[in-house]
Amino acid sequence: MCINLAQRFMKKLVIVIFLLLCGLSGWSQNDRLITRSGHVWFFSHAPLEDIEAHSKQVAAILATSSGMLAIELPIVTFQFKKRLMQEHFNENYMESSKFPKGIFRGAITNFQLVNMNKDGAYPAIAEGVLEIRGVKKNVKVEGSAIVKGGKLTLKGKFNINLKDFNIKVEKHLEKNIASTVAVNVDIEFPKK
Amino acid sequence: MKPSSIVKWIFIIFLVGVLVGASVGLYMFFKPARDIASSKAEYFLSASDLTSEFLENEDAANQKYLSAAGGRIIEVSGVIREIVLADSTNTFIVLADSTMLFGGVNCYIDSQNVAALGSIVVGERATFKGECSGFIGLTEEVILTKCVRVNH
Repeated sequence: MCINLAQRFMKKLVIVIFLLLCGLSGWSQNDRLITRSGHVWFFSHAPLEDIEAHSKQVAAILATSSGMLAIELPIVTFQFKKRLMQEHFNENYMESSKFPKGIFRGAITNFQLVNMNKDGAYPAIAEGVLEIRGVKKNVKVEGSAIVKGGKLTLKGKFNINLKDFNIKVEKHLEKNIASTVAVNVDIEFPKK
Repeated sequence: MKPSSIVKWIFIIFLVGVLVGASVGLYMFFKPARDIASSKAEYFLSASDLTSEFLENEDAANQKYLSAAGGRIIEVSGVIREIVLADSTNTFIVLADSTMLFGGVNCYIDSQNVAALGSIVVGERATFKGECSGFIGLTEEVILTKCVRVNH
């Protein structure tokens, strides 16, 4: 464990020195946008009930030079109107203590078309791997990148098929929970 | 006892049973949101200890600080490194220690509790109580939601 800690410390020291050098020499602008307050919400529409839950604790890092994008979302931060529903969601459907995060790793593949110096809504295609409940799936989401006063917001909407991520709905609740859930993403990065 | 009074008693017991069942059911259905301020914390620790626990073994820390139905309530102390007002409804405070280069504990404050924070400044020591929601690997930060400031 000690070796492990020492290694981690060394790794960080190297990163810090690297960042300092970058900053001093000015040859590489730090191009990473980072937020820890992105907003993701989902909506399930079923004959007997509509269910909606929001998380505003979504972390994301975007490299503006390459479009590389990483998103992490702690599942238990999803807030429901009813507490009982939230507890069932964590316990029965998501097994949040076992699979605590939703993760996306990929890129905005056409990010080179986004001009950070010009306000506007640019089409943005996110491609990568989405991991929910330990299941990884390739996804492609067509959304938009909105630039306003130097601030960038990524917006997207896609559907999740619960079966794809081994989320099982009991037979008697099939009229309460949709088999396909609409997910909305709204991630605003603070201005650098 | 007359048979008619036995029937009467059975009926009354049945009725009481139904009423109790219905009220428990309704309470469960409309269970109020957990009030962190009046709940007791299960763990008390420093921002650097909590962060190290997640860094060393994330799975074990998740098992410890997340219960099946959600996050456990914990109390974390540290030095305020950052105060972020992401927007009017989203405020968080990063607790860390002077020895930490990276990482920390992000204490998210619900909008209705922001005013109760009073004046806070970067660099001062503070303790927050909230619901642990896991760990963000990207930033090496532990997430605490529905936080309230604790004054000892």
